[in-house]
Amino acid sequence: MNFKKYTQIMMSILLLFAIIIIVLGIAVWSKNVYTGIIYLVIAGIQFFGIVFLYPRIGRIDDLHEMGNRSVPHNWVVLSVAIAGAALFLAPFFRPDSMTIPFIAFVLCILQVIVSALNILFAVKKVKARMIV
Amino acid sequence: MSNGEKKEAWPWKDEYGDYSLVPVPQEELRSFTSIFYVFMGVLACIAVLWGGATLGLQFTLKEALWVAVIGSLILCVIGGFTSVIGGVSRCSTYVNMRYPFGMIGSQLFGTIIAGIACGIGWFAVQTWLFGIILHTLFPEAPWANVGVAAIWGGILMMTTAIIGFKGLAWLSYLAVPFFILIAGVGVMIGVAGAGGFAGLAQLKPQTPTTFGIGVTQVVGMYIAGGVITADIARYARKAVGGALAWIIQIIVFQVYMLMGAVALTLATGAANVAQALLVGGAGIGAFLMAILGQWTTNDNNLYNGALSFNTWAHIKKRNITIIEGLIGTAIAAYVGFKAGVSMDPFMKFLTLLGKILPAIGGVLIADFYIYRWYKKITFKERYKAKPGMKISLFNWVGWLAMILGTVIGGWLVKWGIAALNALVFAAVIYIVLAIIFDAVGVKIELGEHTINEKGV
Repeated sequence: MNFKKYTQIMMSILLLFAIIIIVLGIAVWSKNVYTGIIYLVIAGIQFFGIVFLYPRIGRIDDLHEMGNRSVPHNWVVLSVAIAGAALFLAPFFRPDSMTIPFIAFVLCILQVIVSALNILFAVKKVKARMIV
Repeated sequence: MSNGEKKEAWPWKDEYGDYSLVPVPQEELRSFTSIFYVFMGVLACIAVLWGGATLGLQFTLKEALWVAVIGSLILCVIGGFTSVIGGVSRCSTYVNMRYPFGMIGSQLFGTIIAGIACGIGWFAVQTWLFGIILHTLFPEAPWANVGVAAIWGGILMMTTAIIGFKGLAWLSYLAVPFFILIAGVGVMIGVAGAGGFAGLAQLKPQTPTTFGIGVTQVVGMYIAGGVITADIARYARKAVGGALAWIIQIIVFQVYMLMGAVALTLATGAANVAQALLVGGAGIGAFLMAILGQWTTNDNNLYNGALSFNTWAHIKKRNITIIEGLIGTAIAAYVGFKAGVSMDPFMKFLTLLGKILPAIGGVLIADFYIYRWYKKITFKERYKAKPGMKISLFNWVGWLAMILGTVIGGWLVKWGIAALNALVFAAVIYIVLAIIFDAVGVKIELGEHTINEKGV
């Protein structure tokens, strides 16, 4: 698959996950405001980290440069997703039911996997720099 | 590079790895983001949160904010100056020290402040602390026994330092956003515990102290990092890029993380941030904070130590990192297994070694910005090493200024901030003596050494 297309599809999947976590954050806000805040902060950072990548890779055709631009955005999603996975199940952020935290946790784990694969793919396929 | 520009050939040979003795070449320079992340990786450590916790025991929320801001501003200035030196020379602090201290001075003082103190000493202390924190979090787990945790923690922390700058950056990319979030969690737990921001602002500290002592604590906590910023800033694409990265991370994120710990401590009364987070309900976040916080800081300790050892131990930097890492881990594990043994005497010794660091920074800043300007050396040409260039073996004014600055500023003067006093006294003594002796024709640089293409 074309690298540009691959990146856009994968980033769209990550964006979808981030939007779901935002919705979950809004849903839990009334039960525990701190839980709502942490969900919105984590997903918000991911959302903007992903959204800003679209125009950055849309304008260029050089695949190597595209990879270089994609890597730091995926690092942001990856590291914030690790934080989300660690914090969403924490007792301080638990609302009454464990369903929402568990869904958010699973989404974060998926984000960790997808963004790590994206970085690996960019480094292997288009020789992007892992550290920019 | 534009078509009209001709790329200058890099005349060096990086024999020992990670450009430990030679300038970083153009194609290896890194973005502002990378430099910022690596700096943040050093800052994102439990020591900063513990520093904040100490402030939380001594000041109200508003007072602590002012203490953190003023202390951080002082660190901005010091680290900003030293970062630009690295950005211009593209060399590590210990190679830069060849100019104001001579070849022998750079090897000796570099080894004392970074090799022994950071690379072995503080690495051992932090690895031991890592064991202590894990044991506090999981007292029943065999893998969290202080000695056992020190062994696997020490090995873990060695891995990224062995890779070099890329390893530090890679880990920082992972850990820094997490640490920023966990400091925010500290604020939330603090605010929730105090029943809102208004309640938190009303809380009184347990052991109030003076504003000056607080600022001294903030500056003293990180002045070592401020003096050796060139080790990282030398990789910045623009000379001022490293300084900018340093300033932002200090004034924005250090203040933010300190305040996170202040809020947590004011609300819970506990100075042990990891435990307070665990008790407060941060769950696995407290555990990850312990691991990532110590790791991102301790790999930098090893990295800086190996750079300084490389000035006289001419073997691959990777091998030096492994040797010093194993020594540090062995010390930490030994202390960890000997239940009840304290590291206090060892830490006092390391603190003593660290006392000369601000004075070294003062001499370095004075030499680069004032003495080289007085000698009419253009800014971009200062500390520009070239193969075949001659360098002195011994700059006696640099040595004298460093010793006098340390003694006067660090011990004799009883007012102000000791570390800052030492830095300023050393800088003033150096510049006054160097210019006077220069004017009367007395040589301040003795002996001669020719730098070869390996930077030796």
